[in-house]
Amino acid sequence: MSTKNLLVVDDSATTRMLIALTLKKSLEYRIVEASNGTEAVEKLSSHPVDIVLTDINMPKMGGLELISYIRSSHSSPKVPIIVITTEGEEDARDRGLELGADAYLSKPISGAKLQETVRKLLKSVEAPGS
Amino acid sequence: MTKKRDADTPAAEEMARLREQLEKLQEETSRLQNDLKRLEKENQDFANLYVQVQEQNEVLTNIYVASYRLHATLDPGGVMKIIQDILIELVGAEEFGIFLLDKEQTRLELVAGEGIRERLPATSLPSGEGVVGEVATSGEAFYFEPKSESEQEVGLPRAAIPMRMDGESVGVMVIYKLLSHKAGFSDLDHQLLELLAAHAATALVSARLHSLLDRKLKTMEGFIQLMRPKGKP
Repeated sequence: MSTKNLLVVDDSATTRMLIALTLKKSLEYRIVEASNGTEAVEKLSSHPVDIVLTDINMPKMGGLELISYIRSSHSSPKVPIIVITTEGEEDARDRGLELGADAYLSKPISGAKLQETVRKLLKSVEAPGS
Repeated sequence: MTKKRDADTPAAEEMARLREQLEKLQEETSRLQNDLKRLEKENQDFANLYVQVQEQNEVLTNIYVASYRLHATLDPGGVMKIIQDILIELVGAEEFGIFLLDKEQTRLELVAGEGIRERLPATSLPSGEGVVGEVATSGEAFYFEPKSESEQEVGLPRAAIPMRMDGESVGVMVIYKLLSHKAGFSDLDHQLLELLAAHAATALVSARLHSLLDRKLKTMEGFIQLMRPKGKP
C-alpha cells in the first residue's frame, strides 16, 4: 500500500500531536498539520492530500468553511473528510456532513476508532462501490 | 465346512481391516477436533492480547503527548493553557478547575478553569475542608462515579487529583463535569490524570521558578544599566 498523505487541521496542538503519533505508527501515513482553515488551504495548494481531518471551531477559518472550500475547489473536491467534534457541536457536525464530510469522530479521540475510520475511508476511495 | 470357512476368511479379514481403519480415523478426527479447539482458544487469547496491547499503546501515546506538551514551555501562562487543553482534548472534561496552594498553604486559589464561574463564585477554597481541600491535605485522589441522575445532582466533583512535588502538595486538579457522551473515567483516564497531575505540578513549579528568576534577572540588568556611567555602554 502506498503512503497516504493526511492533513490534520486543529487549533489544539495536543490533538494534532495525538493524531499524528497514532497514525504515524502504521508507517502508511505521512502527516501534514495546520492550526486553522486558512493554513489548511495553503497546505492543500502545496501538498498532495489523500484525506483531511478537521476540527470545527478554529480561529481565522473554521472547519465548516474549510469543508465548503474543499468541496468547491477544482483540485481535490472529492478528498475524504473526517470532522472532529466535541459535545455541543452536534449541529455543527451534522452541518459538516451535509456540506460533504464523510465521517466524524468525537473528542476525546480513541486511537482505535481513529485508525479504523481512516482505514475504512481510504479503502472506500480505492475501491468505490465495493 | 472348510469351503464355508475359506469363503468367510477374506471378508472377515476385510471387515477387521476396515474396522481398524475406522478406529484409526475416529482417533484422528478426535485428535484434530482437540487441536482445533486448542487453536481456537489460542486465537482468542491472541486476539485478547492484541486488544490489551492496543489499549496500553493508546495509554502510552496519550501519556507521551501530555508529558511532551507539558514540558514544551517554561511560561506559567503557557503551561496552564496546555493543562487546560489536555483536560479538554484528551480526558474530555467539560467543567474543571485548577487550584494552587497559596504560600501559607491555607487556601487553594483558582488559577484556571473552564465552565465553572457559576459553580464557584468564590475564587478560592479552604485547604483541608470539603472534598477538594481534603484531597490537598491528604494527597489522595478522589473519584466519584454517580449511578443515577439524582446522585449527579449532589454536587460532588467527578474527580479531584492532588498535584504534588517532592511529597508536598502544590495544588489540586478538579473535574466537575465530563462531556455528556463520556460515561465515566476509564482506566486510561485514571492513569492519564494521575500522571498529568504529577507532571503538571513539576511543570508549574518549574515555570514559576523560571518566571521568578527571569524577573530577578531583568531587575538586576535594569539595576546594572542604571549604575553604568552615562554615555558608556
